[in-house]
Amino acid sequence: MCVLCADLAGEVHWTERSMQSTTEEETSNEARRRQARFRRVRVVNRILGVYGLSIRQDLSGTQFVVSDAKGAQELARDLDQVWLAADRLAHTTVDPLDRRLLDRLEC
Amino acid sequence: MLRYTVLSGFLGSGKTTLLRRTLAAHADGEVAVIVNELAPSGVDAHLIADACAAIVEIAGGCACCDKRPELVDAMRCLLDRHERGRLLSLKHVVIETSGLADPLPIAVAVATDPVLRHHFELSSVVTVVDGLGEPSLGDYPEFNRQVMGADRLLISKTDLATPAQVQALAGRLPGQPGILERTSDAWPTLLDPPRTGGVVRSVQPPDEKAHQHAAGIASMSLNVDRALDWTAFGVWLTMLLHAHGQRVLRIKGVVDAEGLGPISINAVQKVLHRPEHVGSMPKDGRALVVIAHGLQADLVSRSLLAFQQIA
Repeated sequence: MCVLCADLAGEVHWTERSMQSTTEEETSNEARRRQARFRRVRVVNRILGVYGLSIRQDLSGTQFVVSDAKGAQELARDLDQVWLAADRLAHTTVDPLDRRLLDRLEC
Repeated sequence: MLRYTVLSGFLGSGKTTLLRRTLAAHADGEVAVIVNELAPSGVDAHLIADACAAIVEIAGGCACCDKRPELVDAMRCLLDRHERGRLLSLKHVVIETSGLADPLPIAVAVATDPVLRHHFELSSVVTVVDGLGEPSLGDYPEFNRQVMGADRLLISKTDLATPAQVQALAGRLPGQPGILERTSDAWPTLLDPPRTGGVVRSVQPPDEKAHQHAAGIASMSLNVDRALDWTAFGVWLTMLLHAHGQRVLRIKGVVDAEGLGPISINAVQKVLHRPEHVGSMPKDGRALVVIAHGLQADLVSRSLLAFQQIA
């Protein structure tokens, strides 16, 4: 548990696991994790933007903050929770097979 | 991590025979068995009781539905005995399902249990098909789900059927089913994980992009001709399972991740097992197999590529 925010350390989501070799992982694990998380936020923002939502990392870099245009926010620990939060904020199911989404991504 | 295999097959298909052959080849206390019987009492447990490290019988219902809590309890019991040193050599648990059970909810039950998921890893889902004549895919949804959910299909009773019968049956099943020959010493063992390219080959229809079955379950093969961006792939896959997890029976295959190499993917419904590095890509291409109910292959393929474009 984080002594500052009382956040319970959960299981590492599979998208957050480093798939580098063990040797590379040892050298710069934390830096790689942050880089990968930054890239993930960039990709997810392209998708959530279609639904009028956005995502950023929280200050500790351990959680995501999903927001709508009116300022409503939800915290999410991993991508599974991001999509659940996005459903609630967008009042619809965010769907990767949504033709409107695919049209926008293919532009 | 301990490993577990889900052994499936329709009523009377030859599951127990295959299990006994496997246990005979591994008589060193490394394998425990959970036998699920639809009937209030069965004989399978008696047939194999002496050949394995431990046996637990779950009778009077299917472990995929009403007996799922008992299955989880049985797995926890075996884990507890292993950790207390009573089953010290235990490495593998085989779950022999009832003839009408759907194997995937069983794999999901173990993979989502808060205790078991940290100690057990799915080795494979193996389905035995009766060589003397399978039930019609459309008539029995249970059989359909057993076939479509399998990592490996094995045809039994081939000594009783004619070669033409076996060949015709193999042609009707997806992928390249294995043949169990009674006289052969080289039976496949249930304990081998199909972690390599065999995962893809085992379910990919030979000459169709999407293989539609009567019950509305389609097996689609997404052929990707380039390395995938791992970040975008993770975003896509989590979102797909979020929106359509109830309709996705399996996603399996090996993807070529850019800068990381071949990585095996194995999802059962909404649960994705930990991706792992594998030695090489399958010989027959970079295919990701999605077995789902009511999803359009072209739309899934388009979506995967669109997500790759924004990486």
